[in-house]
Amino acid sequence: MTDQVPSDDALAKAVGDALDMDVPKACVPGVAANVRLLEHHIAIMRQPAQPGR
Amino acid sequence: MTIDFNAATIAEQVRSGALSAIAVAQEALRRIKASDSLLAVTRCLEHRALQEAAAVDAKIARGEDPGALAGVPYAVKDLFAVAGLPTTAGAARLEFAEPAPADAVAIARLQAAGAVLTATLNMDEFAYGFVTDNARWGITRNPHDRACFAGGSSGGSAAAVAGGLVSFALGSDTNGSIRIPASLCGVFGIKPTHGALPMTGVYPFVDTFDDIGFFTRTAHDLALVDAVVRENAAPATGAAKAALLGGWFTQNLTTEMRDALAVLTDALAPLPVVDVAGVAQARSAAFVITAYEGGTLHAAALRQDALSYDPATRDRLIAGAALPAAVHAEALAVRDRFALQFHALFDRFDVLIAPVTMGPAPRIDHPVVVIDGEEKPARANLGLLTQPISFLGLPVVTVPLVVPGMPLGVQLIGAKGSDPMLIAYAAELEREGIVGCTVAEGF
Repeated sequence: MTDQVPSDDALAKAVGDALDMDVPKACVPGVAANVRLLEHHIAIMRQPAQPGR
Repeated sequence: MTIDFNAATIAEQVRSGALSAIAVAQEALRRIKASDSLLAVTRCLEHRALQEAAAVDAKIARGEDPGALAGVPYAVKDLFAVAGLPTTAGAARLEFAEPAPADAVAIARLQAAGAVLTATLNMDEFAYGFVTDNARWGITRNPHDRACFAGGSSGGSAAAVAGGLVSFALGSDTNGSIRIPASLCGVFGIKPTHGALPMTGVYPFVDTFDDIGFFTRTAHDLALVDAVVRENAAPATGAAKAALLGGWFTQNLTTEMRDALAVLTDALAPLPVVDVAGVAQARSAAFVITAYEGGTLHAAALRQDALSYDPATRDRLIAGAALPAAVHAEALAVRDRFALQFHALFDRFDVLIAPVTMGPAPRIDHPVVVIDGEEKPARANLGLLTQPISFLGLPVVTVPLVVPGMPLGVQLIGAKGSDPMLIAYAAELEREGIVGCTVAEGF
């Protein structure tokens, strides 16, 4: 079984729900891309600190 | 007559009566008008500049002290409040906002010292970017090669100084927004100890990291302007024990930057190399704090009218606004742990040196930087080497290296409160010919 990758629409809807706003259609791809980027940075932030990295 | 635009030279000549402040202001305004294609200036403040210059000349005529920066022309990033003008923060949606009732405190201090405000300058919208690619006012060009970015978000400020439009310019730095354009345009810049310079009248972005600072053509000018903006600046000597930050800070460098660092290392030999752990975690935590605080600041306006924002800024802000407060708290805790290593390093060294960027200014038609072998957007990633430092609130003076080709700079990083020492150290390196600004003015 593989993890399902959330769609742009699903990510933008989750953001809209958190902010109590309707994310305009034009923003959906960009918001989804930035949510993924932030998830990536949160994952790095939670890793143990490596020397020189 | 050609006017040397170094601040110290102008102030000395105006104070002595050898040059009138009006003549300098007229020359600065002429240069600004002749430099439209740089896209560095958003508003030329001709009336105000001539009024302020006339006031300086009148003081001199009355035998009064006109101030330490008498007649020196400068300009400000478009997020400083200028009395009577909307503060746009680079946003089209604020172009016709209510005018500011008063000048920012930094501007008021400069005016009291006789400096002459000539223009407001381009930036990334709401300071959220590293390239000065603005949907309303265009992409600021690098005066050394107009096919390249000036850097950002204070790109208009760096380009205005490097292009010889003004003697110095005010900017702001949250994650590298002074250091990056200073490096890419080949001028001096300072990001002070967090909170050391007055923020009143400055449009905010990320309270945890925001600082104002400035760009100059010489380290001596950096000291001159700093003494006015900071008030009560303590004199310092430049004698300092330095080390080079290795590891993360020497990875992903281009050949140009590696060569320049080798020359610098030789000149400062012996220059020990020191390493810190967890820089990737620190940089990502800075990214998260920025997204959360920037997004939270704009959340109400985004709910009302998201489409009035620059799309490149808007979508980052919306995503950041939705982050939970607990993640922000987690990122702040990463900072506390990361800071301990720097406390220990500053017991051994006065100055830590690191490149500002991986290499020279990216081209506008290929807006990327290479990180771990992959091309990434320059707008979001040019701060790879600056974010872990401002994350800690440390003071940094950016100095231009003496290199062939496009400019490159390094960060001189000190312990909190060591700003005057860093400026003095930069001046020492400048006197020894190890660093120095190359002005690209064609006047």
